[in-house]
Amino acid sequence: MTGRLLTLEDMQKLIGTEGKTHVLNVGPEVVRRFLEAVQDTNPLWTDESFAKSTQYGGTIVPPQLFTAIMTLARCSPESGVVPIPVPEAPLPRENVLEGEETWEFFTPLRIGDVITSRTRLTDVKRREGRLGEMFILTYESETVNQRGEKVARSINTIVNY
Amino acid sequence: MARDQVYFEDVVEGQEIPSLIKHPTHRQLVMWAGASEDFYEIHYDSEFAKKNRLPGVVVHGRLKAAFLGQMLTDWISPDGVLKRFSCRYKGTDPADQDIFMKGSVTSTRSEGSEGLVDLDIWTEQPDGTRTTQGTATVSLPSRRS
Repeated sequence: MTGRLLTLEDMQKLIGTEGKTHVLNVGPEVVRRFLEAVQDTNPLWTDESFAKSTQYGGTIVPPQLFTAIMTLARCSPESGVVPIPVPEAPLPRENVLEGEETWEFFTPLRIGDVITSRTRLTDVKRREGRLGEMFILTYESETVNQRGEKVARSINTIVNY
Repeated sequence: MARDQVYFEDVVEGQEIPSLIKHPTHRQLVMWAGASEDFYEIHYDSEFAKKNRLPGVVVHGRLKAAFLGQMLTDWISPDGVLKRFSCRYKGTDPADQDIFMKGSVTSTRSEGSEGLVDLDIWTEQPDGTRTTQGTATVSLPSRRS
């Protein structure tokens, strides 16, 4: 790209761009760090003898763990920029606001599962709003476990202006 | 959080579910940054936050989403299933202030053998300002099964 600003047309050509695949071992430390950060003491996540008597037959990982791991690029330590889902598709403008996110859950996660996430840019819209010219970018992520079972899907929009 | 299982037949449209209250400290935001790898400085560096026209350090959007998830899983546990939830981030919440997670039932419906409950969910500041708005669907066990 030359120095000019990216247009809606430029961005629409990037629809379908997929970020690199992320693999995560959902180990006990990942879950513990999450539970301690949010301060959630539900025994379904940690107490095997309690969880055995439930329909899950054992402890499960809280589905809302995906708010912490459903993977976005890490923000650059130099710029302090909000992480964006598919850095391979450049943002057309400088500033980022989180818009809306949806998480759907399928097969429950268990500690020890290895999950693989893929994220793609699926839509770009342009609007004039209170922040001036705004691009609305939509990303979709799909996550499967080591048996290929779908565990989660997320749709995430960001406002770029 | 020792509550009895809630069943599909117990739920009525319009009811509010038990609210969850959190008081995110700076330390909690640092722990969330570590757990989520969101190291954006507006969540732990006051000076940086103010340079970005914020009143001070603000709570990560996704931490609020995690809190909303907890409100739902606290309500449905242990035998309910969280099927989906959404969040629209409307406003920032400062650290060191109470934040209230709330939900109300918008519909109950059967889909095959599943009893599904749809909800509006949101986060609220002490003065009632809603900073996050979303929806959720849970599945609840039936008393008859």
